[in-house]
Amino acid sequence: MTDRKQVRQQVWDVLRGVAKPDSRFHFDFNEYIPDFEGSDAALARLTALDIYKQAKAIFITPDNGLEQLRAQAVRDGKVQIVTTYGIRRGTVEIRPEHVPAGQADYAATLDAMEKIGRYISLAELKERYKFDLLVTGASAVSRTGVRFGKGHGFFDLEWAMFYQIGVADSNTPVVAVVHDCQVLKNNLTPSAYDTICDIIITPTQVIHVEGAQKPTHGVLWDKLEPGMMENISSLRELKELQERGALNGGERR
Amino acid sequence: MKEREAIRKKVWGDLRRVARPDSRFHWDFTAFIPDYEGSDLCAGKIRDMDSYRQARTIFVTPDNNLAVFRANCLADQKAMIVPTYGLGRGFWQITPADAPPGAEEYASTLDGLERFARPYPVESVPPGDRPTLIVTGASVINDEGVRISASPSYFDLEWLILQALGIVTADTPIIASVHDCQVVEWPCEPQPYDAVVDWIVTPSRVIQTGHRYPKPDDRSWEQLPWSVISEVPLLRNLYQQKSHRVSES
Repeated sequence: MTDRKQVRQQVWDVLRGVAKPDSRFHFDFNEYIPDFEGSDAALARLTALDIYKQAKAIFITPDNGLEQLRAQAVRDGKVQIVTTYGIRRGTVEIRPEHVPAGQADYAATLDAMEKIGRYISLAELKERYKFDLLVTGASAVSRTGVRFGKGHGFFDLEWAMFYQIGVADSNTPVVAVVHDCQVLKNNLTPSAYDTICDIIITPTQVIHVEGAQKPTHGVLWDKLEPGMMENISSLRELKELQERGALNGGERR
Repeated sequence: MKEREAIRKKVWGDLRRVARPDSRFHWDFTAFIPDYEGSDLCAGKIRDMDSYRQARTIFVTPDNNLAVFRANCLADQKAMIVPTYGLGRGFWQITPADAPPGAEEYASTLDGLERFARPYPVESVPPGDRPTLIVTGASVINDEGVRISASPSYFDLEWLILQALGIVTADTPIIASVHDCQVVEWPCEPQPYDAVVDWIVTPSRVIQTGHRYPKPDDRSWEQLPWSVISEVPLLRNLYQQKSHRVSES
């Protein structure tokens, strides 16, 4: 883990030169994953892929580097599901028809998405959606698809929750959008807990990861960081669904 | 001090019921001043005030409850000076020309300022670009206009920086826009670096505080803890220039 911290710090030192500040956190990458120079070129590479063109419902993380993707998804008529920052207020559904004309860029910001979108529970997600694509940012990612976030494991948690309610499965493509400087030269050996990305997209390249594995264990309740259960209502909802046996049926795992 | 904290906690409890969370800070009122039900009414009341009508440039804090007010300013062809959050990157300026028609609401948010605003070079401001009105939020304020805030608050620091540079003066009126539950009847002497508020606007009323406190001046800097000064680069530079001047004279 200390290794990962060190690697993250090395990447951040370089990233600082191409990153854009956050409206609250400035350049404190411990608190957010930044937008960067060339994210528009990365976005163009992503939207040219069939997995994007054919997607109807996309999960997108609330990382700043994906703001333009969220705006583009509105313009392209996609439904998107976005978690609130830190999953503190759960998950938001943004349907293109809810976004007033000309407001796609605004709707894509964290400050606006909860005003324009609406909160959606896991139970409702489970009933109405199957994601065609998951897109995330990262602090760093290896060419073997192992990603580091800010260090709290939010994306691994999101994956685990979505897997458990069946809106994502092992075949749902996971794409990481990062700057080239965030792609690690050294290959990291994936652990069973890592949600391995299938595709890594940078401003200059599209990297396909062979045989990207996803965890199938769901949320590991005894491995949660302190405070997560109290702070993340989606986790409490998931636990309740699990205890009620509401997750049974469908793909058995 | 203990009583001060107790009052803040009590008000935050009441505020929680009418407030809106921040996109990043959730409900952590130590990190931000929230928007609340009726903030649009406050913005409407300020719109009717002479100091607003006459202003070409307005200093507005980056508090969430002032988003509607900031959008109004742009729609009413007013320029704004807005500090970045926590003074982390100095000050923004934004004019109606910076945000296309229809983007006023977007530009009024902190995420929108990142996109539409430009840095405001405080050290070389043409006199015509100086604000003639100051509008701030507050955690808690008493009916005399003394803010019961973290001490010193970012607003105190912002005011001191702009005052030191001649961008605002003791005569520049200060309006605090708050929810009714944030106004308390609790007499309290301001700190030497407190810029006491001249008008309080809530969703239901407009209060002229008529306070008797002078605005802070150069001597107030001596009361600022070094731990605060050293945290904000702009403040540190100004302080060092000031102490240099003092030691020369």
